Amino acid sequence: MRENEHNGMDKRHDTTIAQLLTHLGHVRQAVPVNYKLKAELKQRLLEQMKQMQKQQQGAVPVKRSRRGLWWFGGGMIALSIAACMVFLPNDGLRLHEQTVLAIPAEETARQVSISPRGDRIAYLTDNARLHAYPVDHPEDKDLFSLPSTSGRYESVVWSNSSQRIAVLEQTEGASRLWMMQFNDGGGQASTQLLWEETGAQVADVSWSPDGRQIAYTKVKGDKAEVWINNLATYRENKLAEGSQPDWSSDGKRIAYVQDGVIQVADLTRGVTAKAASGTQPSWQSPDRFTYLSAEGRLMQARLNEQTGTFDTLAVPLYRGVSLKSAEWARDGKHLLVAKQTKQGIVFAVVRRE
Amino acid sequence: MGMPLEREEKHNASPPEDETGYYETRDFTELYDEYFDRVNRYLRCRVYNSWDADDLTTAVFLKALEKFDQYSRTRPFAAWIFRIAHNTFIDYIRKNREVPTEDKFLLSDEPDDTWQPEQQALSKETLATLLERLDRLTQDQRDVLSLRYFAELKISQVADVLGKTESSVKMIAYRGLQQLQKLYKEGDRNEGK
Repeated sequence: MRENEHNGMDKRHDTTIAQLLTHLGHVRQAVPVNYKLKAELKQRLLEQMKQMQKQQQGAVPVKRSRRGLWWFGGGMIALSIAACMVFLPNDGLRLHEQTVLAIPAEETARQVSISPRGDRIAYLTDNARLHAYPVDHPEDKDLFSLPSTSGRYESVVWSNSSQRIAVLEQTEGASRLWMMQFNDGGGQASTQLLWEETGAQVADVSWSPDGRQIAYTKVKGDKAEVWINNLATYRENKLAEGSQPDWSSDGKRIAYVQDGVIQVADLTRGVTAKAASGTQPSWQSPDRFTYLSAEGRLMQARLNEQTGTFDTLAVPLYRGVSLKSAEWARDGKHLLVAKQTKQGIVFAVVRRE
Repeated sequence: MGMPLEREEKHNASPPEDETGYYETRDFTELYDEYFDRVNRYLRCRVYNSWDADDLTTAVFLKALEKFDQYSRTRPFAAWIFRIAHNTFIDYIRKNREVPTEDKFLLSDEPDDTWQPEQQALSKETLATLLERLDRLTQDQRDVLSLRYFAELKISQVADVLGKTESSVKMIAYRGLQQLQKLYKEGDRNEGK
């Protein structure tokens, strides 16, 4: 009887509700379950439950780190480039002097980011404005107004496309990631909401090379975790406890900070290695990244392919000066550094040869 | 005057129950083993791409684990987990509309080895036809019919998931089925020409 009822659909007979219900049931039964996923996910959930139990038994507070930059006061802020030529053994980091650049500081900026090609700077100011300008022609500044919201725009991250800038908004109880289309000329920014996280604060957004995923720090209370979110499928995975993730340009590794130590997660092999003590890792190339020591000194960590460990060395840049941040453009040739001065924080774009 | 000892012992002997006497005693892993199939199948019936459906299934259970301490065991687990599944699906649909359209990844049709080869052609086509017709219903009708017939929830549970009254769910289901029936008839007629 059931088979005849099912055949009723195929034979194009008039469909009664009963036949329709039977059809729906048949379709449901015909859809297979992914049992492989079921087993794999169960393992993952069990591991997560163990971690949660450990945390409940006596969580070690994780240091909360945020990459925040401020401009102090008004007036002219000079972008200066270190006039040093440094050649390190083993073909390390060679830096070259670049044209001195100056931009007016109209507002107190919260966050600065360098474009993937290292040719533009974007910075966010208090009143929901985004300034963007070419490094070589700061006079061609574009000013964008972001949508007015109940929250506060806190940081800006250039996406892998030089045409888009991601802006992170914090509200009470939620963080939102907006994508702004970069148009020459400025004006009202064309934005779209990419993703929203409720119940936690989000910071340190880093894009995967294909632009489909983001890695970020999620902070709930005193706990900071590194998460990955696939913006197309909404799949969200916790990578580790820690903060300040940075995605390598080949997409294979994510460096992040855990208890003052930089860890490198190899996403293809599923292993994590300790690299160095420090903060703010920033990938320069697929096998090396720079970071800041506890004293704010610029360091470089290079992957030893044979051993899987990282060799570290100091970069002689701004000797005696404690840097606030150092961020590589995606091209690996331009480095945006921030240092504390008496006038405030000075940003410099250093070009690598 | 104190409480009778007998009553006190009875109070401590069994877990608290609500008026219906329902109390979920199973732990998370047992509930996962039971409900994974239904959730995965439900999402595969709602999403064109089965890889996305599997990703959403993962997201549902990760969220469920994170929020499990908030689950009130005096209410049916089915309604609770499918509320998470429904909301996850709705967020997915919303984000798909907002992700730049040049992201072809959303439209990929990668091979899925969970479908048996002999069933694949007929069943996938049948499901695709059904999804296309469901897409022509209202959002409420789609949600109610999907939760009722793909997630196999009772009317009361569907109402719980969607935050509606039972009578409202019944009416929406009835109208949805009527409309779906009409679409199948039109489809049959057009194919017969």
